[in-house]
Amino acid sequence: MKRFKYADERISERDIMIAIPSIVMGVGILSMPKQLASVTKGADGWIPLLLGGLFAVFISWAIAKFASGFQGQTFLTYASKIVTKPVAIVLSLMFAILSIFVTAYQIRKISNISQQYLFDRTPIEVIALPFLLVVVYAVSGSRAGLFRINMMFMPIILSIALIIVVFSVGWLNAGNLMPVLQTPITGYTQVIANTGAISYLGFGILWFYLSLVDKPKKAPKAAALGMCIPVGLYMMIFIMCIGVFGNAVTSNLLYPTIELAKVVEIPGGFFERFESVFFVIWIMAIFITATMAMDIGIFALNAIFKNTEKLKIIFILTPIIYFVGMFPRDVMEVDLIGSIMSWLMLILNITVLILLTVVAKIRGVKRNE
Amino acid sequence: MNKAYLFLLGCFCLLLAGCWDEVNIEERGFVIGVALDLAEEQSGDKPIITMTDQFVVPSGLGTPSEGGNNAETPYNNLSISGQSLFKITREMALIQGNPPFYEHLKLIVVSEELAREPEMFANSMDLLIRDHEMRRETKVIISDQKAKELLEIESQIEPLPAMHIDRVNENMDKSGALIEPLRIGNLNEYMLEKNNYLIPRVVPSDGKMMFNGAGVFDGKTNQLVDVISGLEIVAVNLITGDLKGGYIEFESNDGEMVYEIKRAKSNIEMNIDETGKLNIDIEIDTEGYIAEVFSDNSLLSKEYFNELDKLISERMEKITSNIIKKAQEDIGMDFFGFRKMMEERHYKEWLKVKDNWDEGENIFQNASINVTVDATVRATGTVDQTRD
Repeated sequence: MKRFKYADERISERDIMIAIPSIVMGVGILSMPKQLASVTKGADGWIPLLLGGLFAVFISWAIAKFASGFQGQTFLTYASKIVTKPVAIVLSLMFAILSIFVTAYQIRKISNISQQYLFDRTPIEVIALPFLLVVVYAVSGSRAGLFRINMMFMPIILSIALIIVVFSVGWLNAGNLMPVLQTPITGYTQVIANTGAISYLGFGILWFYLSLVDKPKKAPKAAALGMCIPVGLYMMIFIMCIGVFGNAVTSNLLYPTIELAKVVEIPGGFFERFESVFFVIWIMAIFITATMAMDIGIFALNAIFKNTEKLKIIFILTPIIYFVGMFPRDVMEVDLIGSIMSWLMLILNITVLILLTVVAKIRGVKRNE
Repeated sequence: MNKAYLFLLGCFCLLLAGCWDEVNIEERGFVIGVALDLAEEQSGDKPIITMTDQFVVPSGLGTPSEGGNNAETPYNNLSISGQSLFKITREMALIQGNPPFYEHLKLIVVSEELAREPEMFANSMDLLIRDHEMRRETKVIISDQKAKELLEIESQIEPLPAMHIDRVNENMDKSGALIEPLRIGNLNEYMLEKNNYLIPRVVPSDGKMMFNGAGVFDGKTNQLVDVISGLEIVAVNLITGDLKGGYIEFESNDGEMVYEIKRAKSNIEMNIDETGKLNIDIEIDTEGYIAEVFSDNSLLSKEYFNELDKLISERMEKITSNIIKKAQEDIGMDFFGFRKMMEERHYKEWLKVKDNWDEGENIFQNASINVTVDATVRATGTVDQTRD
């Protein structure tokens, strides 16, 4: 079986810039306005969204800055140098396991949502399987190819999101955005912890993908810029949701972003049911999120088990992902797993960042600038 | 290797076995209107609802070239009674081959009889908000008579009754007696925020229908409390600043005249003083034309315009004060959205008064509300006098 090989497996810092919004924008945005609106007043949710976003931009920049110091080295290599090999393996394994959970969660969530809105009678298991198989197909090819998919999908995804924002302006009721700044401080802290920062998870990919970048000098800036895209988009969508539905309704809609897409009507009865287009495109967004998450898992495992073929790892992981995804019984359990997973991911990223930076300083590990 | 491929190919053939959710477009029963009534025969303690779905019959519509002169009616109404609306929608699938499909639902008509029952209105709206096929743009109106009768009123121009009513509902810029069409998404908002609201009201008569006033709903019990007239809606629209167009008849020294309102704006200031009394100041600015004159005087003079301005302002002040008085004294409910404005602009004060707005301490009923109107006449149409 001959496989087509791309010339090289190198990527540019522009690929990194696109990869960040690609992995960040997944299923989270569909329910994010609800979670924010239910603990804030009026449209105040934009503040934690912005603060969480700035925090995420900073973390992405810091991770990229740190990782770009070790040009051409994988996470395992430089982590071994800093904190000894066993610890590095444990860290890699944790990234791999969490990435697998992220993939499983994304697949389960989109299966649930598309069953609710599109496939009334198709079992969730059947919706999830083809989706997973396509994801598997994508990851079993070249890694550089993944970045090309990102590059191709991202403009489409961004434009559909912008179209929704623009066309729902007609339904906007400015009164809904008030009262301004009436949320108690406790409300904000709760949100920043619960949704603000977690909506932006995905910067973990930088630990791994930066080793593929040829000239990582500009990568930190690119990563930070990339993170700004979801921050801006999330804020726009959140404000539109509140403006169109009002705070009380937004906090009661399970998927406000989809409902927002349902509101959009091209005038004159020319085009109703805009959400069908939105769905198709958002499934693309979730597809690349799931693909990248799975690829990170493979990347991390491949670095540990150097002698095992990539395809073998994929074929072992696939059924695991499927079973993990199908494990939760109902919507509540899916969300619980989602939030536990996001928390672990956040903690892991920050711990690794602090641990590696501090230990590298103490032990004086040289970065190859 | 080839055998493996063949095996895989065989496996994939299993996936071609079929699609669970395949529904051909001609097998969908497109519902464009829903009417909800209290069933005529009630039994047991729980009230029974009659739900009428208006299905589109595409063959009756015809194509433009055919001219649509088919004998067939383009719609088909189906009524079923029961307690649960969901059950009713599924029972419809037992009666006709095309089960109802609500994605294109345009209009929901609720009879006043049903809306007056406590909790019934909110209960019957639940499915229409909750179900994923329902859109939040579907409009809701109430009907003076049986709601299903409204879905039988045919018009020459628009063959589908639900579409016909829907189009009339949009004529807000021609008549101030229509309120902004109520979408079910907004209704959901009112229900969640417990603010009182108005729903456009339709009265059928002699095979025609007409929008006439609006029903006042209590935001806490979601129950029809009272009905206000078309002229009163003009006043409500003036107060809330939602007037898109309309007219005011007034008496001048030279006889009856009609003032067409082209633009109206309102500015509402509210505050609560130390004694806990609510003060609301409403300033209304309108501009428009003299649309009809029943006299033979010349209108074009600065003094005369000023006089007309004053007369119109007084007339508007009168109708707006009347509706406010009615709301405070007769109905005892705030359906102008003042409570919501309070929440938006004075959140801290709102927190203190939100439970005593039109109950308990009755902040709204005891409020002093002042209206000042500044109406301007811009022109007199294309002529000065039509006779001499």
